[in-house]
Amino acid sequence: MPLSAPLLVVENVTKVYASDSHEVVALKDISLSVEKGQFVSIVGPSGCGKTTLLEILCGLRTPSSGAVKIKGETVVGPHRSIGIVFQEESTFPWRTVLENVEFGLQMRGVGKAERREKARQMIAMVGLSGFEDAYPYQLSGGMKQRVAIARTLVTEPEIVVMDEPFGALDEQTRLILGGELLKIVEQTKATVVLVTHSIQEAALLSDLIVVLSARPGRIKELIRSPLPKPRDAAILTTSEFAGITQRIWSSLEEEALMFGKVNAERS
Amino acid sequence: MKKENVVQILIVGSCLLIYEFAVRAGWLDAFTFIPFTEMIRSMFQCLGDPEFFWTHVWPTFIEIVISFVGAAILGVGTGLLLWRSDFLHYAFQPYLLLFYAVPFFAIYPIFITLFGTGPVPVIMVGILFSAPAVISNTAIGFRETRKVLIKYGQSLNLPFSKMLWYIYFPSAWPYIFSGLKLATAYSIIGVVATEFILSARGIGYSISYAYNNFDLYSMYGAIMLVIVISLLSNTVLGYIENRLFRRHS
Amino acid sequence: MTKAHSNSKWWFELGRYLIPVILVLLWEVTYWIVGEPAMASPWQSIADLFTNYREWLPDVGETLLALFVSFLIAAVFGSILGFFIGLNGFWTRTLSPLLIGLYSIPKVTLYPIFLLVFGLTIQGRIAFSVFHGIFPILLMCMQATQMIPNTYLKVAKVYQLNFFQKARMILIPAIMPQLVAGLRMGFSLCFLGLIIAEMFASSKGLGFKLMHYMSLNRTSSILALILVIVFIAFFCTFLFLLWQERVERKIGKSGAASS
Repeated sequence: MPLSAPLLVVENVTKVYASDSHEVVALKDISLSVEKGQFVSIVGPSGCGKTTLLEILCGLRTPSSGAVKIKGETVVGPHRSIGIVFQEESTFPWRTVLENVEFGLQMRGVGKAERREKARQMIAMVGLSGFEDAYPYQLSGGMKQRVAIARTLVTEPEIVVMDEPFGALDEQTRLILGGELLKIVEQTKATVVLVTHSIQEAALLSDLIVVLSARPGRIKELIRSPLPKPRDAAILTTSEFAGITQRIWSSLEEEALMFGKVNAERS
Repeated sequence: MKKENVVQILIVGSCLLIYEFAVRAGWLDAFTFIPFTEMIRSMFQCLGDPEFFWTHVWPTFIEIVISFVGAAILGVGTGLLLWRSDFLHYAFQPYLLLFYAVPFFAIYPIFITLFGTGPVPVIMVGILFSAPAVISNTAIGFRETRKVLIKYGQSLNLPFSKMLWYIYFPSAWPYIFSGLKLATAYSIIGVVATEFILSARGIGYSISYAYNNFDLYSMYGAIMLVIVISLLSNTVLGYIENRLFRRHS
Repeated sequence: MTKAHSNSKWWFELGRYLIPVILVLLWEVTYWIVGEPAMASPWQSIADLFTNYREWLPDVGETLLALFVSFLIAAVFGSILGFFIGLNGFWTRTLSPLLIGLYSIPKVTLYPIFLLVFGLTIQGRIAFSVFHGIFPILLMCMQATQMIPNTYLKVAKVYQLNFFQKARMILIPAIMPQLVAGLRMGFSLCFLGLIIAEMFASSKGLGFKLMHYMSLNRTSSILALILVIVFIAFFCTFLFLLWQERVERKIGKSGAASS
């Protein structure tokens, strides 16, 4: 149960894209609060505005109306306390793994010895010990995402925002990395907002699942996960897990179908 | 060693051997061709002769270097401009494409009337001939920066100077390097060709001088020198270029 | 790439047309600064074009003849050689570095050898021009053939096409975009080689006339000839670009077809 004020508050955020011919309402009246240490997943059909919401959360976009507040402060641009992990591979190909992970610290002016040490620890935590001097082209997709996660976590952000971080990876790697992410989050006690289209992923990792409707994206349902913590991949076979994935799917199915219908009508 | 490399060495080796033999045996006219080994000997003689070296080799070398540096600075600077300004990029794009369609050396006589003989027109031709390659490659390199890397930089609230130094520039570097490699080749070609057509000194000039004086031995020596310089620089730079691009993707 | 929509678009297009205008202005300004005989104004050069054309028209003919002959030779041999080498992976990998090395040598330094072999004849200039232009054609054709997707070859096998049918219906259309791009570059290099050859040692042709006027200090005539050369280059390149666009529209851009 929350002991203090929520860390991140989204207040009535609406985003409208206007072009010459027409208006597109991507998000409508999104309100949400995230407690410290919570793991929140946002699921929704394609085109529902998940990525837009994420970009607004971390300050890369401004909402048309409404606001996002972190610790009471309104987010107007990229914020120190918010870290982001992207879906596409975002490691710098010209830097080694170690140099990649220490990048954020380097930009903040942290001294070389200190940032090297912190980077090494984080590399160990994501399971890449021994690869410090490798270049990204020598790594697999899954390993590169671990580097991206390490790079973001090492700056100890209050909130980590992830945009389908495992979306570009194959199924098996996703499951493995999902389990590892659980462990890392537990160890670092990070607060995470994750966007995913995988119901299984959302159910496995989160405390709170936000289901977005089809465009214009509204909050369809907030589902609090009954699954106990700490968890591991063994939970995938339990009936409680099946229960919650069923709940998510029944909420989502309607929206996904509607998305299909809207698209069909358009063509 | 890979099969391809063996065959390559065989091809080059046998061509040289056949040529050497053909000249020495008189099958090829001795007033036109000299043996390959003689060419090499002449090249080393040219290099070893202090007068030749300082009158011809050194000035050409300096002109090539100045031309390259000029093209690099002008090229990267203009490339940066074309990247930052969509208007300029769109305006200049067809001309960059068409630039190498025109036989550029035709402009040389005008440079002579404007700047007289001497190193200035030679260097100018070298710079102007090499710069467009650097400009195109630099502009493309910066434009090709992956969006996700830019977004990551923005998420850290980096000022433009840091974005340029830590993200844009390293990302564009392989392309810029390609442009610089081309600039090296074009500088060599531009300087030597201009000296060749009309100049009073330099390796290019010494080739045409030797030709006009029926001095086959010196002519082939100087030709060999140019070939060796350009092969060496292109091979070394090409190797570095491959490694840069391999690391990039 | 361009933020150009509706109202900014005309502004962008204007920029493109402004550039030659600015060049002509720079030309005029240089003339004001330097004066005769070092420089001539654009108007003088154009006037020269119309008054003196009888002097150099035969040279234009000479150059164009040599240019088209050499381009034809370079195109035919370059594309056929490139095509057949490209069909075989081993020979492509083996010969590529050698050919690229040969391509990168400043070929102008080898011109005296051509003179020794051919004398001051048009054949010599044509041979030198071919030597310049054949490489991009050969190399691009070779790379394009090498990169033909395997699925096309499998289709040919499934339909049991013989070699000629395969080449005509599948292989050649597949490499057209890069082939046309290579031909365009080959043409430009043929032209370049030819002009250099004429400038250095010839008694006929545009290159020769340029050096001739330089020795007479007739700057307006030099500039007039440069205009003629630029016009020929732009006109022919434009034709190639049209061809390239048509081919790309039919088949879609592939690989290294740009530039």
